[in-house]
Order: sequence, then structure tokens, then C-alpha cells
Amino acid sequence: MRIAFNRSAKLAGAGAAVALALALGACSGGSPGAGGETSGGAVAEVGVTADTIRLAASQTLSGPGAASCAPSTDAAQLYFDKVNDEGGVDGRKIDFEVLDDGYDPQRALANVRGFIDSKFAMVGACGSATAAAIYRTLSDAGMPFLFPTNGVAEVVKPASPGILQLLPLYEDQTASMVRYGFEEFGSGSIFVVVNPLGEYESAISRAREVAESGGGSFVDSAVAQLGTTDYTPIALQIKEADPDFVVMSMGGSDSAKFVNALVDQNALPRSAVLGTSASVAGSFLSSYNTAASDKVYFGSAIQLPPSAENECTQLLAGGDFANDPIALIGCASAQAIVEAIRQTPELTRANLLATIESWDEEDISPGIFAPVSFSATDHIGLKTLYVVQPQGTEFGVIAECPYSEDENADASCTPAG
Amino acid sequence: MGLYISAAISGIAVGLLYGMIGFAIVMLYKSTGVANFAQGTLATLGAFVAWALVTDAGLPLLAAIPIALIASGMFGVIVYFVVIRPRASAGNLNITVRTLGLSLLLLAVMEWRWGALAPYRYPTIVQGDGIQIASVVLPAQTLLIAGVAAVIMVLLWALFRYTRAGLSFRALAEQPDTARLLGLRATRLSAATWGLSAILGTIVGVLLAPSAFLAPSMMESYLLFTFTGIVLGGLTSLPGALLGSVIVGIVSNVAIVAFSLEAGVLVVFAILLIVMAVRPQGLLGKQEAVRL
Amino acid sequence: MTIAQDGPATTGRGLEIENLVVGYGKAIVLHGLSLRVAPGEIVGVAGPNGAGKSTLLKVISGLLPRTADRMTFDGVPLKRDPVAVVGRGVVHVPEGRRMFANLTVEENLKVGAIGGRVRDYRAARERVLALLPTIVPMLGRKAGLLSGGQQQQVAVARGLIANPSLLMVDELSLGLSPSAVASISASTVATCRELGTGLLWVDQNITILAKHCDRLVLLRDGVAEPVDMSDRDALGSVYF
Repeated sequence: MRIAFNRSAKLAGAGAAVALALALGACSGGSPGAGGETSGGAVAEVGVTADTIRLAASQTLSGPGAASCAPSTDAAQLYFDKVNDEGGVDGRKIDFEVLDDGYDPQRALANVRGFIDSKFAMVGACGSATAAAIYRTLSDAGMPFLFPTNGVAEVVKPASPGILQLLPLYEDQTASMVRYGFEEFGSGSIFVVVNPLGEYESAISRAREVAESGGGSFVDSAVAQLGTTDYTPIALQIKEADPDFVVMSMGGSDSAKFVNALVDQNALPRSAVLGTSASVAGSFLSSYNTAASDKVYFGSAIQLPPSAENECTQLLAGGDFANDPIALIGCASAQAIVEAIRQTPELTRANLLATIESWDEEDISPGIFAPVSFSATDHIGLKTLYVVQPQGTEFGVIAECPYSEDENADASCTPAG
Repeated sequence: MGLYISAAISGIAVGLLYGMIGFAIVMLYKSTGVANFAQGTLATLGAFVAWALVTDAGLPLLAAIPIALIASGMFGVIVYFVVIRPRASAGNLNITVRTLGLSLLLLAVMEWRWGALAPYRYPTIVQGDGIQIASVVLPAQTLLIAGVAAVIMVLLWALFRYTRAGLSFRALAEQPDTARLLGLRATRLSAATWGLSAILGTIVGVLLAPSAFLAPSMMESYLLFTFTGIVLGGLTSLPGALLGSVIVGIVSNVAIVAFSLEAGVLVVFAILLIVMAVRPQGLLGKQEAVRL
Repeated sequence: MTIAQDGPATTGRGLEIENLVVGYGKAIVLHGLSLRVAPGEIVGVAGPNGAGKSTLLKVISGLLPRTADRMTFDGVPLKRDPVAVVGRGVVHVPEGRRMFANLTVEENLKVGAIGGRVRDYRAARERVLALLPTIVPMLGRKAGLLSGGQQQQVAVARGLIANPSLLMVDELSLGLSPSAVASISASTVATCRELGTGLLWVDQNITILAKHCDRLVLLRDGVAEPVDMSDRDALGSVYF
């Protein structure tokens, strides 16, 4: 998601200062948390005592990407605080420790090693690269990794024990969005532009497969580094190729730059610009050229604007990141974690995972996430992709699409009521 | 073919922007021998100051910009006295590393103050449809950038070529000890250079922010292109900085349409390495005089 | 300051140094040197390599720290700041010429004038060029492309254009052919006399100093000793 991108952008960033920033950042490693005391209560499990449940996250808190990443764990912390204020979960308070990894996979791994023997579970945070670096260690240790923001398929496909995510992979999203576009506007030609997020080749190839099997055609594709300074050349190529659809999977700021270049060069496609949840970020809203709004359709993991009834909506309202989809995802994910803990009678790691794997159409955060379903072999929870359009300074849902990793799924989208 | 011509024209437009960032770096390098790696963050800071004057103080953009320019000039002078001047005899490498440190510090301050809600939509100075050449549309802001780049280059070139201050800058850059021995006020001149380069940075930041989106790390991805452009042009030549940057803009944009977007960056890296290996003085730069 | 701008001083007390001590760390180079250069006087300082000749000039220019009982120009103490010293009308032509190689000769002269706070560059330039006409054809050339002798001539002109009361020249003869040394020495001294500028000239070449200077001192063991210029034999043996 936007989180992942912004950080990769910094890594790919060209300035020498950036390189040094990262090098320096990488040197000031965080120290692992204090050793946990697994004491006797009703259960004996790492990070769980009679009155405390210890959770942890490794998050990008330093470096230029911190600003976009931090809201997800900040929002989760707000939610845990609220739960604690209301008496905790079955009398246990949630202790949530967040260590900085500076979006460095090695530091993330070091943080995780410090957590394995003292914390009950890892809360997902920013980033495909860090998630890919730590998931095997967590899975081997049997430590739950709940709901990372990740675009790397191998982390969840095939399902690794203990690693569960809510958000659909970008490759599945591009496929879904092409299907939506063809349903809405009729099949046609597509031009795909991606930033290297997660596995971008498959994001292109899945879009192509769906287009070709749906009676359309694939014109061309382009891969742009995050933080590309000038999208004009790619806009010119698109103008010349003259496709019906532009399909994109790009970070928030890059999405806005790209869309703005399409507007400037009169290169908007005939039918629509179809994007993934990566574009659904405050950074897109604050920067895009509104002349493009009518043609832009993004897949979103969450309902936007969120339901006013939802605790997270209320919790974040008026704060710094009230309208930030990243913060909403962080808070709603925390809601899901708390719900899973509540539903687990004997709180052990294995039981917690069993609870989540048993979820079928579970409404964990009504009005933000659609109902989620997991199984022992399916570790991606959301089965619905919302289609949103930018409307002024917020996104609004205009349709819901069934989303599935099954290539042949062809149930159609339904307009939002 | 039309596509390549259009890409080349768009490359000129973006190259002028790279070149303007390059001016400030070249000017400082010419007169103090220091490659200022903080130039990008100074530019961003200037853009943020102008933006804060518009949004927090409610000033119109055209009033905010001159105030931001003056403030950044003063800030540049302060930077010189606080960061650069103490133990200035430590050598240019030491000073260059200090500029890297300054860049990180400014970045952290901007992240702290403005980072949480970045990026911000930034007002353009001019609106309008711009003009179309071949199939490429040059928006009004791009034309403004081209015009400002041309004016700044002429002004700076005239400053170095025809004024006493410019001559003093050049003498100081070439032989700082001799310049001091002859009575040039080295401290005052260096402070003025830092002030001027901070002002140039702010001009670039304000012009760039509408298309790059205002965020603390806004300038980072531009610096590779800028440094390649000024190395290609010769680190000491202002027209070279512009020429080199425009070449970099054209080559990378044409490479993008000919091959792929990634090829654009690869070609720029290749140019940088080849120039440094084959012609380190660049296209218009002067060979360093041998010092005995 | 005003003296430097309005023309060389014809009155005043010139340079006065008493009991000057200078060292680089523990190595003491000058041990209580005393020296005086009257206004308009041409004084040569001879001495072997490493005797501290260049150090003496750098100290006067304010480039090096020192202690002294007295270090004044026209009765006012000289600060340890080259800009202030030039402002007092004491200008240093450094060893090795130190041209701004990428600047033209004209631009080199201008830098000298800027440093010396010359208000009327054109007049100062005319005055110097009239006395050193050999420079005129080189004005448009890059200084780095000149021969050593030409550069030395320009270096002297660059110092004189600041209208100093006292010009200090370090190793004018270094690396130059005997004929170049002869002509440049002659023109430099003649120009100083014409302008009434004092000259403090340090050089290894005692013969050339003896030929042109009013007075000669020998720098040995960190102090300055007067040399009897009438005694040819003494001159020839001073280094030994």
C-alpha cells in the first residue's frame, strides 16, 4: 500500500543524502524489548499473563517514510488504549510495543528475534520488503503475524502457518479492476503502468490475462521507479498508444503525478484509469488534478468514507489522520486482533490462529472492512474489493466487487447502494 | 518519430528544472569549493516557508514568495556561520560531509513539523493551458520555469563575469589563501554565497512544488538528475549546468519512450559514470589548475 | 586605510617590529627579531632556506600568530587579520606568485584593487601600468598561461595596484632566469621609488638585494643582523 511504496521510493531514491540517511539510520539499531515473563495464569503462553497481553510491531518510524507509515501503528495504539480504558480484553490489558526498523529488512528481522520470546503476537505494519524478510522466522516460531500490509505473494500464497493478511495482493486487485472496467465500459485495450511494489510482474500479467480472456487486448506496459520525477514521457506513450483503459498499481504520490501528467498531456484514456488500493492514500487526494476525477477508479480494501458508526471512525475523527486510509486500516486491523483474542477461549498462539482461520464472513470492523473469511489454506481475509473514486478531498465507494484469488471467478460487481 | 520529438521536448522542459537546482550547487562550488548536498533540502525548506506563509498567515502567494526568499537568504547566511565556518580549515571533504549532515537535520525538522500530513497540494504561480509543440503540451508553469531558468542563468553569469563581487567569488574559489592575503573579505563573501544559494533554492522549490507535490523529501529524486547534469556540464560552469541538465532530461525521456521507464534512470547513471571516467571536467568545465 | 586609498604615505613612521617571537608548535623560528622599515625605504632581508624569511612576511600580514613587544605600522599596532593589514596599506606579494590562473591578468589586477579597497580602479591601473608597461600586452590573457617571469611581474603589479605604503615581496627571484630577475627587480624597485612605496624584500639572492636595496639585514638564528653593504667580502660570505 502507500506505506510500502513511499518507503521503497526512498530506498530507490537517488540522492546521495538519502543513501547516507538510510545508512546512518541502519546503524542506530533498536534494542529488543525486555524479556517476557511467562507466568502462571489460566494459560501459559509467551507474552500472556493473567493481566497482560504483549503485542509488538516492527514499523518504519525513522527516515523519510516514517510520516506515511507511522499512522497505521499510531492508530492501532489508539484503539488498544481505548480497549484498555474500557477494562481490557477479559481483564487483560494490551501492552503494545513498536520498534523502529527504518524500512530495513535486516533491522526488522532483528526486532522480530527480540520479540519472539517475549511477545504474544506481531501486529502488521508497513511494507512488503520487511514482511517478506520476517514472515518465515515468525512462521517457524509459531508466532502469529496479524495482518501485515504486504504485496509479496509468497508471504501468504501458499498459506504459511501464522501469517495472515487482510488486504488483497496487488496482482489480484489489477485483475479485479480490469474485470470491473470491462463490465462497466465494455471490453477494450489496456495499458499497464506500475511502480515496483510487491510483485509487479504478476500485477501486469494478471491484468493482461483478464483483459485478453475478457475480449480486450493488451497494448503495452511500463515500470516506473517510485519517486519518478517526470511522468510526461509515459503519458506521451499512452497518448500515442491511445488505449481504452490505463491500469495502474502505484504509490499515492506517484499515482497523482502520473494522473496529472495524463491530464496535462490530454492523454486520459477513453474509458477509465483503473488503480489498486496502493493509490488510495491521502497523498493522492492532496495532490491529484481534479480534472481527472471522473475517469479514475481505484480498488480499495476499506469502505470510504468509513461508516460513522465504526469505533475507529470515531476514534480518529478530528485527529491528525482522520481521513487517512492508512490509519483507518491500522485501527480496523487492531479491532480485528482484539476481536480474535476475545473469541479465543484459551489464549495460546495456536488457538488464536485457529480462531482466525475459522472466520467465515466475520464482520470484524463493520463499515470499514467488508466481512473477512480465512481458512487453513487461504490466508487473505478480504473477499470484497470496494471501487472508489476521488471526490474532492475524500474517496467515495461507487461499487463493490467480489474479489477472489480464483482466476475464473466472474461474479459481477454491484453498484454501491 | 513524432513520439521521440515530443519526448525530447518534454526532456528540455524537465532538464531546465534540473538545471536550476544545479545553478545553486555550481555557484557555491565555484566560489567555495564545496559541493552542497543540502541544496535540495534547503529548496524544500524554502518552499515550505512560503507555503506556511500562505496557509498559516493567510498571505497571497505572490507576497509570501518574496518574504520566503528574504528569509531563506538570511537562513543561508546563518547556516554558513553556524555549520560551515567553524573550523573552516578542516578541508572541503569535511565541509561537504557537514552539508550532508545539515541535509539530514533539515529533513528531520521538516518531517517533524510538516511530515505527518505531507504531501501538500501547492499553488501554481501561473495557470493556463500552456502551448503544444509536436504532441507534447507544455503547461504554463513549465513555461514559467523555462523563463525563470533563463533569467537566473543570465543574471548569475553576469554576476560572475562582470561584477566585483563575482570576480571576488571566483578569486576566492581558486586560491582562498591568496585572496585573503590580498585583502578580500572571505567570510563576508562566503556568507553572501550561502545566502544567495539558499535564495536560489527557494526559487526552485516554489516552482517545483506544484508538480512534485510539497513534502519534506520532495527534492530527493531530482538530485541524481541534477548532479549528473552538472557533472556533465562541468562542475564550475553555469551554462554547462544548464546544458548538461537539458541533455540529461532529453536523453532520459527519449530513453524512456524508446526502451522503458527504468532505462531512463539507467542511462542517466551511465552518463554520470562515463563522464566522470572520460572527461571529468565535463563539457564546459575547466580543468583544475595544478597547484604546486 | 585612508592612506592606502589616497596614495602612499610620505610621513609617518613606517613598519616597526621589536622582539618578535614566532614558532610553529615547539619549533621557534624567530627569537626576538627587531626590524624597522621607514616610509619609502627599500630594505632587503637575506637568509638561507628555512631561516624564517617567509614566516616574517606572513606574520606581518596577519596570517600567523605571534608575540611581539611592538609590531606597528605608522605607530598603530597591526592586527592579526590579513584584511585589516591590507587596509592599513601593507600588501604582501606571496612566494610562488600565486596567480589566479583561470582569471585574466586584468582580472587579477582587479582582485588586487578590490582587496585594497581602491575606489578609483581606472586611475590606480593607469598609474601602475605606466610604470610597468610590459604587462599591457598580457592584460587579456589567462594568468595561468604566462611564463614565470611574466607572472612575477603581474604579481608585483597586483600588489602595487592596491596603492600600498609598504609592499612586501617574497622570493622575487625564485625559479627565474638571471635576465628575468634583473629586469623584474629593476622595474619593481624603480616603480616603488617612483610611487614612494616602501619595499620589504626577502630573497635568497643576496647579490640582487645588495644591488637594489637601501639597507640589508641578514636573518640568522631567528634574529635580524644588519649587513655592512660596503663590505663586498662580507656580503659574499654571509651565509657561511
